[in-house]
Amino acid sequence: MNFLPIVERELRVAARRPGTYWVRFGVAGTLLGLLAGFYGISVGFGLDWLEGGQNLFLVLQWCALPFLTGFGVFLTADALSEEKREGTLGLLFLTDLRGHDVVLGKLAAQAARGFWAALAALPVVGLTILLGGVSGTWFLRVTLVIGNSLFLSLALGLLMSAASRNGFKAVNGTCLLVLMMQVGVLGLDWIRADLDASRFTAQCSLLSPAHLLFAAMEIPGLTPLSAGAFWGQWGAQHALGWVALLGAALILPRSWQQRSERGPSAGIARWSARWRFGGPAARARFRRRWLAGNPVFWLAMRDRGLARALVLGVGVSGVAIGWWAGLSPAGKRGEAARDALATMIFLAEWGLILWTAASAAGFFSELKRSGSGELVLATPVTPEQILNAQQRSWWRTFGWFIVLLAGVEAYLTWERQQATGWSAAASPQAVGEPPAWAQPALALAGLGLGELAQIMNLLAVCALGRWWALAGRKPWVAVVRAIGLGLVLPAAVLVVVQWVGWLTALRFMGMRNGNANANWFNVLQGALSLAVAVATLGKDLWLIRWAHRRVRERMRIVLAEVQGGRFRPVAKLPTGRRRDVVVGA
Amino acid sequence: MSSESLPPIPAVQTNGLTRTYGNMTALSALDLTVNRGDLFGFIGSNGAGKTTTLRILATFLAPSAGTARVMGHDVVKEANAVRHVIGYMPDFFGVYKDMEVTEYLDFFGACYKIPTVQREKTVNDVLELVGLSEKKGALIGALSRGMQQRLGLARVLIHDPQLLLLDEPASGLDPRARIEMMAILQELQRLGKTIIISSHILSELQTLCNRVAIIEKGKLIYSGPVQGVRDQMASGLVVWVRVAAETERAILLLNERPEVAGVEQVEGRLKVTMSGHDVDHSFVAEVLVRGGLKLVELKEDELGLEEVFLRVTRGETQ
Repeated sequence: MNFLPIVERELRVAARRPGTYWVRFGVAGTLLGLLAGFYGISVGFGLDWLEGGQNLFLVLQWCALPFLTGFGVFLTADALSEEKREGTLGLLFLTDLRGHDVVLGKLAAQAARGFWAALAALPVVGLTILLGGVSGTWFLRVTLVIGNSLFLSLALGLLMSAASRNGFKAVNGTCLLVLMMQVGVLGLDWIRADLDASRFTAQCSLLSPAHLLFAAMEIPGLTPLSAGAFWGQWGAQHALGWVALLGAALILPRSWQQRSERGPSAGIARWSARWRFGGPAARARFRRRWLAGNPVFWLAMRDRGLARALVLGVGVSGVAIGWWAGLSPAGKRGEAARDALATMIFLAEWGLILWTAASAAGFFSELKRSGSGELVLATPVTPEQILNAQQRSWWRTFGWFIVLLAGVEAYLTWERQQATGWSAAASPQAVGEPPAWAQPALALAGLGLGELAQIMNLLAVCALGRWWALAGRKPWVAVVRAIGLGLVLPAAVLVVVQWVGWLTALRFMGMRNGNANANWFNVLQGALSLAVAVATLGKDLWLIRWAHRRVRERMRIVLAEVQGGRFRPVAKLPTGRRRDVVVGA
Repeated sequence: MSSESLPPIPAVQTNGLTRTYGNMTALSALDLTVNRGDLFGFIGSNGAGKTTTLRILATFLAPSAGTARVMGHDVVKEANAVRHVIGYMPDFFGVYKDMEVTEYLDFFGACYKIPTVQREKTVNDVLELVGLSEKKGALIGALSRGMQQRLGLARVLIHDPQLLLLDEPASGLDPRARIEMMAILQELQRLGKTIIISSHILSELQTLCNRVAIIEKGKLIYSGPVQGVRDQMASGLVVWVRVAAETERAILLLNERPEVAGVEQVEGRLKVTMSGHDVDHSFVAEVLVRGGLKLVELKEDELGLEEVFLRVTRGETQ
């Protein structure tokens, strides 16, 4: 074992990054904000749901689990693949270091960073013990489960990173593995129970930290988990992490060298190139068709692998939904198909968000990394043309899919509304009832604006992905930032605002959840959803405008300084004050 | 295109060109003129300001002060016009490795709005010129470094620019590839292109360029003909002499001549320094032979560009 030099090097690098400090500060600050916010709102509105600190503890633990798991992915998923790309991994293997040294070194260094983040979170979560309703055993179990989940995500990140050279593939693969481990296994048990028409029994789910966190809850209605069962499940998940590390240590020494031009991997590479770019004749045809207008559009469109995968994916999904409906009992086929469709749409929407951000960030990052962006800008092509070309290529690749998704989703929502809200609205109008048209009108407006907001969300993620890929170093970090700051964080804020608005409206109308008039309840819900959709549209428009302006104004200088950037890191470029350096943009 | 038919506008003219990065001055009041048809060598240590100058001329960076004109167009106010008349080759490849050679050039041809019908011929012509016709269908990632560099040159030529800005075009190439690259540049000069080339390989610039500029710490130290810089640097013409015997007598005989400023013995040879650059040194042989000495070697000292560079610069970077 000789992994300490790697740990030392990694920790030195981490110590120089301001982010190392800010992450700890951010984790503690966010959780403290959540705690104070929920407590303040609950006390302020006289809600009786707190049960001492129990429900706050539940909120915080379910926030901490995905955050720290995601942080683990963020820390390790590109750790080894980046070294492969930059050629530094080969230099490590020219010394006496072995695969396990490198893997353990990376793990120790990154785990330390994750550990500090977790350590910052725990005292805040522990504050709920003081409010009562949370036992020490429960707190300890939650701490162990979340810690284990962090370890598992770090280990899975290293495994995927050891197998891949491409940062995007490593991060996507790790996200997929972690999602599979956290919720995918729950889905498998759920499907099995549904097919057998039996109760849900945890089998595959025993590997899921999310399931263990749920099972460890000490709340009324749940049988407390015995110590033996807890430790058994926890131990199995922990062992899985070590298996992933062993896999990484075995794969790494075999994957860092450039592959031979012959053999099966070369065959796969040739097949992949043909799938993405087509054969020589198809390439020439495609060039003739698109190069004459805006040549950058051809550049953005020439890799058609994703577009083809999308068509294939939609076809396979259709078959899968049909198969699933066919397996269900005869009377429940329509319902099963609808459920499967709704699940598919949910997954497809998130996939679309990820693809949108990834395609925008990937294109601009490649322009920067290869230096071709600078060469293109040395020609009469303008930054505006590059922006338009990427936007058009995105729409051409995903447009039909977006329209399809929006259509199917609108249909399902409409059907659901007709089955529930509509009937109440159609009832005879009584004194003090809302007007009969209010519910359908609000529902229709909400539906339309909701779909529009989803498209605008995609455009915002695309615009932010572009800018952060240009301003940053790693495209997948740009994707995480674009989705996290452009979508998830504003959505979380809007949910809280919607909740507070809901409570305020109920108080204003002298109603409580128990005694509210059902029709007013629906109207209020519709109005709030409409307000959230409008706020989302406003937020998206602002973000798109902001990111678009930044890319247009700063593309030339960012691309120029990347290659000759010995003087000033791009990330530290000041904002508006440096507009004078943009020439002829 | 012949240089004689063009109006007498310099290809490049900078006045007080200054570029700062925060507190650091990368270029300080650079006054530079490059004439049309010149093959102009741009020499300086790492960080001297060569790349900054080329980037300003290529419209990537705006000057902090001063002006620069390329083919009569201001690089800030008429950036788009400048982009049409220059071909810029940076010190990196800037290639998509999964693109074919033809695709790459076709793409850049389209960026310059060359009509589709004309593009195929142009691509073939430039590939022919840089000797890459055989590699038309090859993937760029499979090309050697030298070939990628030639492809970069082909890209620069695709729209037939009047001025080529080449930043370290021969760096990292093997001797054969370097010689081939230099031959291509000479051919391009013959075709009437103005070429500004920054390089560290001074011995090649010496034979290739008709004019050079030396820059250090952002300041111009010399700009003019290659011979001029040698003359400026050397205190007087130097001739190396070796005689079979009686070296002391040879020193006495030479010192008697008024054209000789000094004679010293260096490793068995005599270093004869004349009083000026334009002295006819044929008298040296005559004096020695008439004095009865056996002349073994007589050679005029050529001050190389590398030596000149070392003398005028201190190798300081910023």
